[in-house]
Amino acid sequence: MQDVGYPVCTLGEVKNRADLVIFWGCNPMHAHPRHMGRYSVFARGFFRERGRRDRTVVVVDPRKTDTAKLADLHLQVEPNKDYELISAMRAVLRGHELNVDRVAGVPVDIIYEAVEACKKAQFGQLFFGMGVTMSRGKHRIIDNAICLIIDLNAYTKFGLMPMRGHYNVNGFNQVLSWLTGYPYAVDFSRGYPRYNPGETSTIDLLVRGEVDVMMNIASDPGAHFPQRAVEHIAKIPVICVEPHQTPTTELSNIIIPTAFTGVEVGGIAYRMDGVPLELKKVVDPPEGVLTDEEVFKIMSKKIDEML
Amino acid sequence: MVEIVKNVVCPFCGCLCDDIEIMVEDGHIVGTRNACRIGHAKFMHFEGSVRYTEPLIRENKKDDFKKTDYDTAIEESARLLVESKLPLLYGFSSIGCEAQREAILIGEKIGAIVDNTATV
Repeated sequence: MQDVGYPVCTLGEVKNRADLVIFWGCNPMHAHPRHMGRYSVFARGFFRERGRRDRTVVVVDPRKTDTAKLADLHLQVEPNKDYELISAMRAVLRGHELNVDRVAGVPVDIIYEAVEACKKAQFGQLFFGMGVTMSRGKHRIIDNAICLIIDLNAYTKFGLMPMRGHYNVNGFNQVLSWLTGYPYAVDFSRGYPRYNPGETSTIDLLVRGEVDVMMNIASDPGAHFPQRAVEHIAKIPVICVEPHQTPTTELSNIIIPTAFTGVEVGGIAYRMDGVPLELKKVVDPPEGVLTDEEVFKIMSKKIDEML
Repeated sequence: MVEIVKNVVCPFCGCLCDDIEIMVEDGHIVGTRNACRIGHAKFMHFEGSVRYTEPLIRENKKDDFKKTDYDTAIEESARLLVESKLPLLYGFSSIGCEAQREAILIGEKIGAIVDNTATV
């Protein structure tokens, strides 16, 4: 993503303007249930008064998901062949002919149809999910997708946006970017920030067994990481800053419970389009339970004393 | 008396729906409006989940946890992190930006790897 730039817009733009929406490797019907209703497909926008009837929906997914079922066009790509499909679409867009029957399992007729729909759109938006980022090629696929969007902008307006899973994934990328210049996977071990996914990214470090202590903050790698990464987590001392019992807390040495941000304590979070919103405190946390911020402030002081 | 808190931002997914209404009775959440099923579950806190309210600690992963206080738990965590050759700070995606900033600054002090769920 850092190699090619990142054409974005807010979800409000999508709601008011988008007449073509692509969901690539994501299933908002289940993972982001109100996304289509509030922002992308069914929402009635300023220039899209009729909601769904004013929009074309394209889904790229190896499975016939519930999102794919309501799409106008479903490109049933073979697993791990997203990069090929994007390259084929870019080739078609540039006027090349595909001399095969299928690319990445998708009949070329459907690829032509999808590219034509993209070119005809007044305002298109590509949403991509873990199906893209977890396929073979990982962030290189996104690079290629961004290039597709750049190519499409020769014909019409087009943007893309990652479908963020947790509510403040984007917030962390924003905060880390303004502190270090890099969005994630930052290595401070040489005294200055370095960024090289594959070398300084969590799963690769765990699989290679390079880290010797892990502090896990409000997430559950024990349930979601590959087996070999979890095996290393089981071997090293683990600290969990986490309110709930999870598979990861079962592997940990220290559990520090905290209050729920957005329920028991306020704070700022960034929406998937980069709009910061203020979370509210609705009820009090259980007696004596500290917030994440308080825990890290105390820890920071203690570290200062030890260094 | 059920009190309704309006315009609450849902802390579940990246959509951050900001039109949620929460029904609060005696300091407990008893219902939600406008939230999707997942957001509703986050506020209502079901899933038979176990909530920790006190820090827990154990030396050996095969032992049972012992209850401790925040001071000891945080002190011991700080010691582990400072003594480590290459610590990893991971997660971050379900906390506020203010707390993220504090934790990243800790990472800088101790020469850690700082990474979030976007890495997956």
